[in-house]
Amino acid sequence: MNKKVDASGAVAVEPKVKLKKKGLTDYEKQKTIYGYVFLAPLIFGFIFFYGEILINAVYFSLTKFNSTGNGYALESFHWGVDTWGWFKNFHYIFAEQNGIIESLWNSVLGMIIDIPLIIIFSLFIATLLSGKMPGRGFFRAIFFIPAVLVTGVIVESTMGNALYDSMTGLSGISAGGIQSEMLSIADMEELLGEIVFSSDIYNYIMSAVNNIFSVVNKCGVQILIFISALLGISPSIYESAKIEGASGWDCYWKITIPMIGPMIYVNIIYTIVDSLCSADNTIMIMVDQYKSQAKYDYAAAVAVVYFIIIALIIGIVSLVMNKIVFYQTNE
Amino acid sequence: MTNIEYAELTQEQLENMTDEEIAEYNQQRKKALEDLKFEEIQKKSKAANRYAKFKKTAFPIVKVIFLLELSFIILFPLISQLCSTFMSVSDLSDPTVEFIPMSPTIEHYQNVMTISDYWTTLLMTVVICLIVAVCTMYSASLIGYGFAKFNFKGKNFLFLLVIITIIIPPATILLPMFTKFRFFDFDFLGLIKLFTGKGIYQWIDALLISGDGVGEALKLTNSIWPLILLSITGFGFRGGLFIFLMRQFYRGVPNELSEASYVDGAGVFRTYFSVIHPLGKSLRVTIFLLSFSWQWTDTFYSGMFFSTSYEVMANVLTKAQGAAETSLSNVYTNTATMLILIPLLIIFAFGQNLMAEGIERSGIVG
Repeated sequence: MNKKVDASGAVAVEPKVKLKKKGLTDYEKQKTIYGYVFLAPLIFGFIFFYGEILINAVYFSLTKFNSTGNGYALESFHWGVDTWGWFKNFHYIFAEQNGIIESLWNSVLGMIIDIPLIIIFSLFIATLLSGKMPGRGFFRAIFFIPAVLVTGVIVESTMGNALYDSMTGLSGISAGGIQSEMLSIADMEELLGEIVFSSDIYNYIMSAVNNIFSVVNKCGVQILIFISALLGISPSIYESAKIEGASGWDCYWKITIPMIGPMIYVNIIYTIVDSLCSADNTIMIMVDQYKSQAKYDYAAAVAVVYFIIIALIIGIVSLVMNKIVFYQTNE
Repeated sequence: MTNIEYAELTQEQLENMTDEEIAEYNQQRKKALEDLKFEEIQKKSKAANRYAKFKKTAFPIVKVIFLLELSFIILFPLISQLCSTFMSVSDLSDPTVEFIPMSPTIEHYQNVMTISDYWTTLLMTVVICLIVAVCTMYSASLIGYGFAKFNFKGKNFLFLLVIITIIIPPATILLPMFTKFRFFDFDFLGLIKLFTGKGIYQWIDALLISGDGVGEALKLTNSIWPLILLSITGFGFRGGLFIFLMRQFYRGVPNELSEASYVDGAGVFRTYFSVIHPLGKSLRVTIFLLSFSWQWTDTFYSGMFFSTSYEVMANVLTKAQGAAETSLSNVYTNTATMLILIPLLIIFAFGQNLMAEGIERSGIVG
């Protein structure tokens, strides 16, 4: 025990704090180690295959790709010899592929327009589908269909299907599709023009209504995630709020929205990724074209540039969302 | 006596009343007033009840109508596809037949099923999808928990890796991935091969297995191993999304829960498996369903890894399209699409019941 004379001259006995401290650090250490244990599968995968796959994918963008008879050969660039040295492929896609900047910008713009629409719509549908109602299983199954339709073999089967094209919105009208505008923009302008503040807002809403098919089809995964998040909220929270006199409206804004905040964050990230990496995105089409021409080096270069941009966007969104989103642990 | 009669008391009557009478009078008056109040309240609550009843019946009806309309938007192309699959050749050339076939036939289904060896394909796909979905579900849950509740060095780097797996275009990793699994060598990031010319497995093969000093890599393509490895390590199709999802969920779980279980003497794993893990059930079911259905319709991995040995659902479409005459190619495509979609929807209809409602998240107040 440490004995010490304090300011008043009395002898104070300091208790042994060392033991306690040591215990705490052990616990923290243990937690650190368990962190690695829980992430072991990911680390294993990264070390044994995924890391090398990623490194190779990036390496492709820095070399010249030649396909040979039974495989491929990579030829590296040299500083001073090739323009931009190792980054010659990037020079090619920026200098010789006109319009890449424009398509990048359009992709990002399209995404920004998509996000609020998709999040609000899918939250709305999920709220409807998570409550008690007749035929709930049936409706959930139907709203699950879009999540399947957007991937893999089903996309292939619907591509080139005239009906599908006509359903995906206004483009169908000019192509002589069967569907006409559900709401005419001119009519709504007449009706709402004096009420709504700016024409941008109703143009936005009108285009959303007329493209309802594509909006619904982009929401499949988000709806499913929201439903499971809504089902995860304990009913006892609502009960206690009701006893305290909260209305349904209060409950929705003060309980539901904060409780599913973390999942709104997930859905925003997913919407960004889905919007920027979907098969009909111009950049993705560019990558696929290079791939089909066996120009893996250019495909990789485009992908690297695109990746950096998406990572930046996600980084900004994460910074903002981390400030906003409420976690029960942060109380 | 109602209070109206009380009101008719004259001044004379009042003066003649004894103290007892006044007391009685006041008591009765009070009672009568209370009765009146009670009636009023009853009336009001009746109105409120009626409103509540109206809300209870009208809201679901409006809801169902609204959802039916949206369902129609989703289903319409599928219904028209479904209708066309039952049309005979004469119906197809008849411009007056748009949706309902004049002479319905299941001939197309029979043909496509024989061409694609449908039942074997179905069984094999179910097995593959089950393995992948179960692996993805549990690995995402584990890794997500690790990200949510522990602090350690390199966490941010690993999380960046997770984000990378979501946003990397599949086309760009196609070739490196195929090469890796075709010549699998258990190498550490390819470093050992870079310096010695041989990966770990090649060294083992050279020294121990074949002993000829040459060393061959493991060939994992044409087997289900790449899919298992990818999904068990969280690198499967959109694996990053699932990890992110679980991480967000576990971040919302109060720390008090795990602390309480530590105090009760449970270790980290015991806490995870018996306290935390059950909470994520509805989310895990979601992950299972998504992963299952994405594997079901997958062409990317199956095209890369199963060139000949496995029949998966995607092959039904390719085979049907390959075998169809030009006049029937659309119908065969539609038939194959229905054959792929319908089992999936049946599985989903059962699966979504597992997303149990109103799971008690915690026993913690506040």
